[in-house]
Amino acid sequence: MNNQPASPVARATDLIITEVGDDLIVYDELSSQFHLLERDAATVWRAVDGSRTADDLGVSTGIATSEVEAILDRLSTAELLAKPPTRHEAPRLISRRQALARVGLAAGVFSMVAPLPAAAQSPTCVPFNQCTQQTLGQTCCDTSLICGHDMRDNVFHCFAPVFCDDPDFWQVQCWPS
Amino acid sequence: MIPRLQQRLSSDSWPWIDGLVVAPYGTRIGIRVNTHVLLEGVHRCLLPGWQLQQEPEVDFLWSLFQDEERSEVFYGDEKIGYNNPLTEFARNLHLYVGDTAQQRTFVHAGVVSFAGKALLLPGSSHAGKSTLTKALLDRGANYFSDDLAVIDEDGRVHAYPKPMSLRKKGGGTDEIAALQLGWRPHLEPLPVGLVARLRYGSEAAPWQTMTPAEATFALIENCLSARREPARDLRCLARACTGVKAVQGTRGEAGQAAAELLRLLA
Repeated sequence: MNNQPASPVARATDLIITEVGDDLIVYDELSSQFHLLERDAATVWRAVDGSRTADDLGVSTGIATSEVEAILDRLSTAELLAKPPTRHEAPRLISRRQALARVGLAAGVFSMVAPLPAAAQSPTCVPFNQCTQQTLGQTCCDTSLICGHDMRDNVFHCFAPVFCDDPDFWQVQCWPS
Repeated sequence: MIPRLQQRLSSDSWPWIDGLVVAPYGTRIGIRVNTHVLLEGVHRCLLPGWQLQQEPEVDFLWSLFQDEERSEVFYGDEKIGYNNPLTEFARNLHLYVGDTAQQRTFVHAGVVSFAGKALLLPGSSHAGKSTLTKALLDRGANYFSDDLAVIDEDGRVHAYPKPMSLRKKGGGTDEIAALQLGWRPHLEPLPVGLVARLRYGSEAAPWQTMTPAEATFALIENCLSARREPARDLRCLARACTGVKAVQGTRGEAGQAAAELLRLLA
């Protein structure tokens, strides 16, 4: 039985990759997601060719192995690895920083779903008295009102827009003055 | 002339009497109407510089109908809104132009020029872009757009001279024509000098610097066609942001934020 940790492989298909300075922005055509890979994450992603473990990658890139592992976790979550790493070693005690890195906060990989096209951004107005949580901020029909949330009565309906510093009105949606 | 799509629409048999065709940014857009009043209103929605076309075949078709019994607006076969047809058309036209443009990338952003550079304020509708754009104009910047940045393959920013729409306290909006704001035809496209992703808050906080990649990400987040043209849009926006200053954070009063932005851009 092979007890060596599996070596990860970067995904190479259905991706659009653009370098911006030291960083990479990757568009995943399958998930319609954009990913921003900061410098270390980009370095690791470029280096995962199936021949190196996290320890090897740490040595070849000069990035701490714990950071490499965190980056690989995030790359795997973002579905940017064709073959994710698997570890066979016993669990190690990890520091708080390593724990944060494991969940992506320090791993330098940020993801977002591509914005919907204009045609899908609910361009229609909301009929009077049909405001809901989902239509907050949308324009109501026939008037210049918008859907808002009256927190005093916990109801959604069409309001005149108010400014955020208006002391007499409670509303989730307001406009900068 | 009554414009038409190649494919048949369910509303083709309605009593259309006139229309027009424009082709901004390489896409042929037709609008057909059933009254001359509607057509006059459509003309008022077109931007300066949009040339009327002579051929009726179009890539996208708006249909505006109004009589004593009903009001209808269609984009292709899709019904858009329930309101006055011109209101719905005016509210959505520019989004659809940006979404379908062949030669440019459109981003939700306020844009002004200052010292030969463009300042981009990416943000969704209702994010306070117009308020901040107006404050920048009051301090000497030049108007490019209060809502849409138009970016070409070289990463340069073009003006999109739709009227500025400023919300009034108590409801409604004031519209100010681009010409009144100092916009002039044939403005040269400009390189980006500063990207500022700011949101309004009652207490301003020091802004953080963004890397060019983070600035690109902020523009993609507000890009109209990112799903349809991801490769082109990524290329344009990355070029636009390469080497530029970029900040993000919470702004307070618009005037103070505008002064700080112009200081960063100068």
